[in-house]
Amino acid sequence: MTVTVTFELDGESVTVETRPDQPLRELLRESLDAKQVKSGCESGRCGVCTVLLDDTVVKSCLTPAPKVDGRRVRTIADIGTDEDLHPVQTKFVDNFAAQCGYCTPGFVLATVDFLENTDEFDREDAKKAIKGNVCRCTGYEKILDAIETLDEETDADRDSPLGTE
Amino acid sequence: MTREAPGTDSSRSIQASRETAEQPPSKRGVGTATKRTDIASKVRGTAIYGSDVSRPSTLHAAVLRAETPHGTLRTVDTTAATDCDGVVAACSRSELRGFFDDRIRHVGDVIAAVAATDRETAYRALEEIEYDVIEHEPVFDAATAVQAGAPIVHENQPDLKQHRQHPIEVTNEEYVNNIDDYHAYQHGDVDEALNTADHVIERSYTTPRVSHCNLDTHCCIASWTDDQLHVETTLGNITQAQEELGDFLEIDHDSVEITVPPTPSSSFGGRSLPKFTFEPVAASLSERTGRPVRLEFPRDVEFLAGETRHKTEWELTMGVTDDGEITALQTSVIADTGGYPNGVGHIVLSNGRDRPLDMYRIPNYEYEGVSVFTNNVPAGEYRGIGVTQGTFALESHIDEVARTVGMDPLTFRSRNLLEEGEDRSNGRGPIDTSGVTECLERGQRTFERITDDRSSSSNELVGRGVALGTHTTGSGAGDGRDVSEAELTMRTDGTVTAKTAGVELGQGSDTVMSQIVAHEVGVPPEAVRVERFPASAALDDSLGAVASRSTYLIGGAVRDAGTQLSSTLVDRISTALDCSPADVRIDDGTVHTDRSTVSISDLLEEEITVVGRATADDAPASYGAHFAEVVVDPGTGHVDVRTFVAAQDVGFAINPKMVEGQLEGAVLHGVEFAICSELRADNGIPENSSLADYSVASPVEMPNQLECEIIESAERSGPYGAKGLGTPSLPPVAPAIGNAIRDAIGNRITNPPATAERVFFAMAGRDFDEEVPVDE
Repeated sequence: MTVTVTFELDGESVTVETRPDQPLRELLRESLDAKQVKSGCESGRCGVCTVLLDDTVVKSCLTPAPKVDGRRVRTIADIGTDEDLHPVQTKFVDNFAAQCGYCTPGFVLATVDFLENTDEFDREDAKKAIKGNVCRCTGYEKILDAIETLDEETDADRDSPLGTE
Repeated sequence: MTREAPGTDSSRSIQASRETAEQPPSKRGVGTATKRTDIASKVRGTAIYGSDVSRPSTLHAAVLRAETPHGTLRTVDTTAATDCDGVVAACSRSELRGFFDDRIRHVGDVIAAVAATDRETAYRALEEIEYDVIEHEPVFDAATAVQAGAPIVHENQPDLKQHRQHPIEVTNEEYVNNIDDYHAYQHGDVDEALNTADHVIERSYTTPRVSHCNLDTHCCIASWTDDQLHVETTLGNITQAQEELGDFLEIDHDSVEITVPPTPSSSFGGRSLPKFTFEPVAASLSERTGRPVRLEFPRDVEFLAGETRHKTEWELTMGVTDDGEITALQTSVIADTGGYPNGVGHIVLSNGRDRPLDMYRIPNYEYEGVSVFTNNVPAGEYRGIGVTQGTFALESHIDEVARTVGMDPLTFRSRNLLEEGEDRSNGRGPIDTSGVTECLERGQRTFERITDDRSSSSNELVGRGVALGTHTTGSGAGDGRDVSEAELTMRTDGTVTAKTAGVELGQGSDTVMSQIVAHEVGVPPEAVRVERFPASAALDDSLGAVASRSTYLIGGAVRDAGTQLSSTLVDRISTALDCSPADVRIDDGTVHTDRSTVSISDLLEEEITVVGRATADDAPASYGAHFAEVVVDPGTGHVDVRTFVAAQDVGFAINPKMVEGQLEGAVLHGVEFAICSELRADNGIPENSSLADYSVASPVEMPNQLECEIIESAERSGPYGAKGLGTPSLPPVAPAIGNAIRDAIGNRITNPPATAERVFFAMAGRDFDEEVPVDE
């Protein structure tokens, strides 16, 4: 049994066939070639498949694909551009927050969502914000460094934490 | 292409290093926190990893894996599977190419495999395969498996085309069956020394089976062109992998070509070499179908067939004098290799044997180690092979010994440390650069500064612990057999392409190489592009990105090439400008003389290619002193690592920020080893083979406060004084935490991970595992 879904993916409308039980991650990666959405586990633990669904962080391996019908999905491809990185990406670059980088899109998206929904925070809050994402390389320290420095910057620019919008 | 005779390059390289070690390098390349060259693609999500790669007309593979740990396949019928729509081929185990017999040796072993037009069809077809297996008595305990009468998993030392298999002579009469590897060694007279010691302390330690949990799961695409096999997959040790795969598939080494995807992902040893039920299966299906075949491990298979750290059991007996001098150490270790070897059983054992002698003065020493086949999931490489396990046992034991003698554990260690220039007790020459004393002093100073003002509430138990660790840089004994070459080409636009055997697995090696070129030649690091040369190239390198050799040895080759390129470039420029080479200064891609300032691209008319070479004539040891403070909840046994200080000698930090990143990553893997992770099994069936059930460290488990102290001992044989970092930084982490837990609760957990239940029982002097036994 297949169902047809129409949704906005990174600013463009797409219509695609899926199955009721197909995870969004699989639909994105295999039917829409959105390889920027990574695949790591099937249990929602690692967070490499994180996307924003109507600007809220979800793990696309646990999200049934039909659920996105009529909604808006943003992946890392819609965060910043090569010429003009999103402030979160800039801080990840400046703070050496990526090593192998496989988890990085998920962390960037989780951080974007965190800043969207947070006014003031400290390192402990940042830890809680990213504890649903796994990184095997960095020990999380430099990711937390990146997020911490965003606190200072985004205070001045709180109106548009999503940067490129 | 310029090329010098082997030998002369490396001696010059060493000479150059000496000079630089004495004079701090300028800040134009090395020694600075240069941004990673690959960072933009990683934060933007445009980097393409192994599991992202797709190729035209590729078939998808699925593998039918054993649910029983030990048996003989009598029949495998793939007819119905072959008849499924979309299935192109189905192979039984015996139809796969290579050394596959009819025996099933672990849960997850391969029974059959299917290639189909899409993955779902391939997995559905597996359900159509019928097979009949005669079950055999399994054996899960390595100490049992090695004894007479144990079920046979493999004949001793089977020929499975593992690299570096060596002849063994087993002198222990109790070690009879399932022997993967064996090492025995002694110097001095241990029995006599233990008889006359003031104190003899004996204790056993067990370390767990743990998984790398690389997030990018194993994925390969195999294809054949005539008799040439091509495999695209993330592997760190490509030359060795091609040889092993060729031997296993019974084809020439030259007929195997392995390439890595555009962006390789993390390894931690888990992607160093091929795996029995991975590349050979894809290669067989591709040969059968004549099409490229993609095989990807689902996450649970990562735990079943992706290899783990060897589970080990140690018995340590140490003799000491009243005033804290080690007089003897007797060590025995049994390592669980699981159902198949990965060629590193011998490294587990040799590291267990040699590393204590890189650290301490041990005049009388006896060591015996055996690695044993069982029906558990296969073990293999994992960051700090054997040394992570051995250091846990040794540094835990030293802590106990110091307490017995009534000495502060730190003072006890200092009393017995080998000093720089002092010969090792096994006669293996002196320690050249150590840095361990500075690690201890600076680490302790920082640790005390952080922890001194801490007060603890009455309802929490606070403990502090320290551990040392060491590991050698590179793959072997520093006997000159390990070499690396690098080719640099400067184009007329002033950019440089560096071809090396390195694999950028996230550790930052490409950035380090570009820094070295930038430093030597005077171009910006962004002007340097680092590429991997294929194994078929005329350039020499046998090991690639393993054994913490990238910066040390590959970096040495790049530096050697960089000095040649610099000198050729200066000659060309001085000719073009009609000035003396001494008057030419190149900085940031710009040529400065007394008379003019021009860019390299304005002067260079022909490209320059040079080859550099470095030889591992040494295997310098890198040292770390790590300090932990834990808080234990007496109501639950939960351990919180509150403070951690990792003081690590790296020789020279070519990129200090990336060095910190390596250290912080090592602390994560060590914290897991100490308090979180264990692949539990019930009758050989892993019980927690998902990331939801298997505990990996989140930021919450990481230390609340983590400080890295980078010590630079200026290793004379490494580029700019650098030596290995990735491996040596891990071993001290877990014992430092274990010793802190001991300090907090008064009893020792000898079988990490120190989970809350184990700690809770230990607080009352009870053993959780004896009272609540886990089947295995």
